[in-house]
Amino acid sequence: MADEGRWPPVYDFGELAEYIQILARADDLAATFWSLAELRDERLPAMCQGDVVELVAGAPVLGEDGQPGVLEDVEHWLVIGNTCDLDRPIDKVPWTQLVPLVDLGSAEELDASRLSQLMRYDAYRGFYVPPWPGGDDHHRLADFLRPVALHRGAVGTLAKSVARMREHSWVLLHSCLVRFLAQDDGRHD
Amino acid sequence: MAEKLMASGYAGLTVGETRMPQRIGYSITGSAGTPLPSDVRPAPVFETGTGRLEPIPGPAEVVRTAGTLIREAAVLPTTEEGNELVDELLSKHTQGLVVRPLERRLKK
Repeated sequence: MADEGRWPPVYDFGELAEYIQILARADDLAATFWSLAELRDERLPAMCQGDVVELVAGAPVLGEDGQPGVLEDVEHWLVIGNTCDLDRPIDKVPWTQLVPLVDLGSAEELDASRLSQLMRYDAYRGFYVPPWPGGDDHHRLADFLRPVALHRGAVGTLAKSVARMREHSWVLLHSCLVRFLAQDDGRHD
Repeated sequence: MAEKLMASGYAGLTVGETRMPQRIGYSITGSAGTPLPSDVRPAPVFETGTGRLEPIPGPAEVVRTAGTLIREAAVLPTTEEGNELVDELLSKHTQGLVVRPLERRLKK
């Protein structure tokens, strides 16, 4: 990935807090959240962490019998795989990771107080995803508990990015992923 | 910070009959990869004198240190209300869904 297209890996606390405040203050979160730039930026990999990917496929899981199966068909996914890995040769790093986006419906279906709660990003296991430009008006929740491996051979052909985060929304996702993976359980207190 | 720092601690390490003074040191272990935030100090480890670095005895302190750093780095607090809502929405969505077995490809 070209250096000029690369966002800083870790941020100081003040900068992170400022990013989150930008999102919290936004009247129109969707417009602040998503990049309006052309998705086909030759300097970047075809897919980046935080992209919304369109791919209709069953969500693979191991069921209660311990055997592989699929749950419902998912239409949209959120990329949680590292952008750097998506930039490496596919024969070296053939996989990336996605989590399914659960469709919560329109703002009217969800109700204002619940929507407002989701926009606070104060839950471990899910990440609120607002409607994106060019998509429908539905709100979604990324389910961190159901990650899926995607072969990168499908990237750009069967699995296409339809929305890309701006820097501060990506920082927010990054923070929520860290928080989810490193949740303290108090066992060594 | 361009370089990663690894802390090495000497906390009353006994060598033979001589008790060495307690000391925390830092050494550069690499210059690539994700740097630590500028105001984050690495967790202390023991340098055993054999070149091996070991966590300080009792993992609780290391875990607490890491937990504190992560909580501060993530900045975002969680709330009971927020977790309950997300859990409800996600479980409502998957409730009643049946795990369909994968179609097995027929062997020729």
